[in-house]
Amino acid sequence: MYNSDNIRIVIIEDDKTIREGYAFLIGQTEGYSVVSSYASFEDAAKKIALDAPDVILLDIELPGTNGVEAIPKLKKLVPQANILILTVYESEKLIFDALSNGASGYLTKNTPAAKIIDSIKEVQQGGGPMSVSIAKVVINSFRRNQDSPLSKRETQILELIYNGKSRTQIASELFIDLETVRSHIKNIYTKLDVNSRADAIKIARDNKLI
Amino acid sequence: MFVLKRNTLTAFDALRLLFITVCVVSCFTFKAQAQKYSFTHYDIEHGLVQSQVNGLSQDKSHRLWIGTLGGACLFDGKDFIPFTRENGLSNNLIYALLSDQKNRVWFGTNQGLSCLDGKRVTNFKVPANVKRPFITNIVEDKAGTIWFTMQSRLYKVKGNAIEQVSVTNYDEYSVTGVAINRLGNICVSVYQAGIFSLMASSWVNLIPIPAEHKNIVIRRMLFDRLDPAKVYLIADNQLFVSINKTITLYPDKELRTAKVAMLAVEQDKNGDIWVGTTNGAFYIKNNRLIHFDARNGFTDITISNIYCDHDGNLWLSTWGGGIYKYEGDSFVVFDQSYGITSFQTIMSITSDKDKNIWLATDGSGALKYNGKEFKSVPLPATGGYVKKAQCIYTDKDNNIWIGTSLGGVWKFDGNKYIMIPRSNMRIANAISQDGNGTIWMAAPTGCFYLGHDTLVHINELNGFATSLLPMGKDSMLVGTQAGVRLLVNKKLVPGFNIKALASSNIFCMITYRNKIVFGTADWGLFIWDKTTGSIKNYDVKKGLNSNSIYSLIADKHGVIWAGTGRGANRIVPAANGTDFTVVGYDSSKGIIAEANQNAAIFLDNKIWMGTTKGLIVYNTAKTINAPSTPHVIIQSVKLFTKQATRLITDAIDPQIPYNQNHLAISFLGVYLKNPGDVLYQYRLYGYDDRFSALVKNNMVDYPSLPPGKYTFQVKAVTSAGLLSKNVALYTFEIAAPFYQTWVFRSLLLLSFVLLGFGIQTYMHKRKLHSQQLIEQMKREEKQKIRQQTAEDFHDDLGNKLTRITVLSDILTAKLGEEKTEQKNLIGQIKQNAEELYNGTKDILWALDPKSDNLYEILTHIRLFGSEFFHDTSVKFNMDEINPDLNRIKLPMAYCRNITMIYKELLNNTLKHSGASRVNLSWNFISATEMKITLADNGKGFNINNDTTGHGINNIRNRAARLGGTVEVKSNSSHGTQVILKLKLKKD
Repeated sequence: MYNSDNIRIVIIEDDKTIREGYAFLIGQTEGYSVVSSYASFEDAAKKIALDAPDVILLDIELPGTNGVEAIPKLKKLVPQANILILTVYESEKLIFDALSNGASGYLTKNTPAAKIIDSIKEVQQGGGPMSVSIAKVVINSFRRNQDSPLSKRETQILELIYNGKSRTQIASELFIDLETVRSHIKNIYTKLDVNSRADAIKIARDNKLI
Repeated sequence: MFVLKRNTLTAFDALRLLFITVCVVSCFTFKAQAQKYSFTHYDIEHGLVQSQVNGLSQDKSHRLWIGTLGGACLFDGKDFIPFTRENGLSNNLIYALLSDQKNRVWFGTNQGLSCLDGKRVTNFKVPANVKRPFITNIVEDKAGTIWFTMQSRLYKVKGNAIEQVSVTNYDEYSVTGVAINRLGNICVSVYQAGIFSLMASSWVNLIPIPAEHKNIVIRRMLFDRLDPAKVYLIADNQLFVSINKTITLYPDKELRTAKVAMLAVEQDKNGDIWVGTTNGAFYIKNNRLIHFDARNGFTDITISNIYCDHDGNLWLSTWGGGIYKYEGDSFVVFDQSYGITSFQTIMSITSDKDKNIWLATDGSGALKYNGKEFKSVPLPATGGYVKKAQCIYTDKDNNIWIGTSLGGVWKFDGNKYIMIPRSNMRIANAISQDGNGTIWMAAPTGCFYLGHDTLVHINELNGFATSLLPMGKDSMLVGTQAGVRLLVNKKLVPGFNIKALASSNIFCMITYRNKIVFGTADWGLFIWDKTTGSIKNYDVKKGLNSNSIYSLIADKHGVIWAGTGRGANRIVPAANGTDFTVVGYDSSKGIIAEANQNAAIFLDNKIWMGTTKGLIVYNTAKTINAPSTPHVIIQSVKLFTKQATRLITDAIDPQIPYNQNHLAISFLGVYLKNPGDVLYQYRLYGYDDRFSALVKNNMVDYPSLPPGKYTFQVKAVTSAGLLSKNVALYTFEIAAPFYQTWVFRSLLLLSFVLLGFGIQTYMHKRKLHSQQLIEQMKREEKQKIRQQTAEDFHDDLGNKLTRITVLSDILTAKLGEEKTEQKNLIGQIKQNAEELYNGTKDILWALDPKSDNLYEILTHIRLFGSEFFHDTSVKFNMDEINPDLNRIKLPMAYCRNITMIYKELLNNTLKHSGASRVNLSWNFISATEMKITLADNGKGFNINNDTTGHGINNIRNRAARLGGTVEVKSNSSHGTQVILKLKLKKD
């Protein structure tokens, strides 16, 4: 089955059934060869350099080093390999940690095998495949400006203002003092260099601060 | 007093006494001429502003205004308050003065008329035609009009000006005098015409001038108060009287022959007439004339004016000698300003059967007064000692006994004087006689009795004996320097003692009814009830002038007269017969002299009392006129502040700040009759419940009064118990500090209540807040756990389902091409596993609090739709969702149910419609209602015949749960439309 043109794939997945299942399903597909599959990063780290994978299918929940942490290490071991996360986790934090650590794609495990196989190719060709739900999270996050001058609390308050909440309501909703709300609002106004609520909301909206 | 003031007489003292006496005493007989009447004299040395006095008038507060040639002054009994040019008066030469009904004071000066109204002085303008504007007389008629004469013309005060008034038909320069008659009308004397009265605005001639007196100039008129027919006139320096319109010279012979000029006439409270002359005054009582001059206690100076004030005091003003007040005839004084000094020291008094008064004097021997003159008693002995008479006594047989100091004890039987043998070795302090007729003598060496012409000493009684009081037939009470001893049958009764008197120096004793009254040197008066043994003490606290009682005597009214160290007191029995009230003698002259021991007798309704300043004779007859009472006034109210003392006497109901609550109020009982004899009772209403005890002090200090409304009330009372008719008041308020006002207090209370309320509310809120916080935390925790559980479930399930999917795929791959049926089954297993997987994801999504808004829900449906139709031939379209929709918050039930509704619908569409396009659109019907339309271009279905379990009922149920409706339109040509209408109920 070995074909040097084949996409060389390594699977790191602790669930034996899935690991072997994917290995079988991907391996039998033409143009793909699963060179190795490991139950943990620790297992993989010893040999993966020899595997020289093009794509690594990486689970996040792993015994020992978890997937997200493993990404930079794998990148060191096999810099040319594209890492495709394959997990049941869909939390924003994990997605971003994984992507920022160098993952090329992020798939959820309900992705049909055929789609996974397509995604492997996509990755190999420089794409960034993602499950629909992951894409939504990522897109959502872009909606918000990461360089906001506002603190998290201030953003939260501004959002509530935007939602039409009064100061008292904000105070009770956030369980903070009315005075604190006032001082936050003052800071928001100062930071955004505005003098009114309407202006603050407009600036915030324009700059995607909320 | 002389002997007793020294407790022991040493030999040295005795020698010195002898020496002095020998030197001083030089004549044996002596003749005293007259009694001395009692006047009180006030002159510049007492504070009078000037000694030439013209005008006298009493104001409403019973003080006396005095007009002099050096300004006026107001006399309140103590002080003369000057009122002169310095106070705004136009001139200090005052000729006439009047205090009117409105309490204004009018001054007739050398420069016209001035008026003092309260504090304001008005000097009336003198008309230009008046060359010599001096005023001689001012009167006020019953209507309150002020009249006066100036340069022989009549004027009246009209408003702020004066107006000349002419008597009809007479020359305007002819008015010589002015007065008010009994009817209160103005009367004038018109030269050569007579006396006119203004009645109903016309002048009526009351009294014509008789031809023989045609040219007299009437200066003064006095309408007799008691006799309407009588008018006294001073004219041409003589006294005239008009009886029934006939004017004659006053008929008294002595008066007519007196070579004096008469200047003033007045009627006193008893109706007696006083005439002021250039040499003292005449007093006409019951047609008897007394001439008061320097010889009988008055003055020889010219009397310019006589005035009887509203309290009945008679004042005489002099030209150069100040003023005099007549003290009445309630007592007269026989003293010796006439020659022999020692006459004054009267040691003892007695009277004989012919009512002659016998006096023992210390230095002039015994004197005898026969009602007209004093004669020296010629004791047949020489030397000074015999002139030192110490005691004098009349026995039952009318023998007069004279005891001297080392000059013998003498007996006078009416014919001759006999000395008791060897009695000149003794000093006799007192002589008495017991019931058996035995004569007794008290001496510095004890007590003696006379037996067979010799003095016999009583054994065991060696102390200084001062006084004697016979009791019964055979007993004698002996006063000593240490209490009382009792002798029975000439023997000392051992153990007899009156405890209360044990330490007292007994000066005098009298029997009074069933009691014995003791006068002591130190503790005042003791009244001992022989039958009950009870003893009562009266001292200065109870009103005695002094605690030294030298002599005692009772009058026929039952009043005990006590000669004290400071004048006489009367001890008046109360109605119950056991108690007594001490009263002063109600005259300013009563308290001067120091009385002497055993020197008082009662004779012919008079109390004769020997003092160090002569003999005082008190009239015990009761006065007819109602006695005058003091009039009490508030003199000054001082407010002491940290900075200064402020006088607020004239402030009306002042409000005083709470931090200036130190006040001193001084008051005065104006009692010109006897200014010194005034006591006070006061209270501060609002502070004291009762009036204070009687006090002498006329000032009260309130150093720190609490805030409140006060009225200071003071009454004046004389020692005789005469209470002032008025009560002087001063009302003021000490303002409460702001923190004591009720407004502040209620505000404080309110703020406390509010504070309490606030605290409670705050605590409640805090509690609620923390409860909410806990609940929120609980909720969040629950949510977290729920979410965690769901996530765990999802993750776990995810892996398991992935296995199934993966295994299904492997199985499919391993099955041969022909195994379609098996593959189909495997496909179904895989699909169910995927649905299960997605289902858990939906639950997870629905549990996420972030999914609580319309944006999330619609986006979720959109994503689902896109994903769901992704690998199908159906084209799914749904517009981009505006993120602003996240402002529309929806309850969790909406998330789940709407999602479920559309999953079901999209499932149905995919399975049954055969559509190629599915469109999901949404829009708002109103702000709170929206509709979501799902349209396909499929083959449609018959809604009524739908039995295929498309789950439309399920969808309707879910919609109903959210209060929404589902409308389904379907036909074969236009496909199916499902419209969901939802109320956007806020969370």
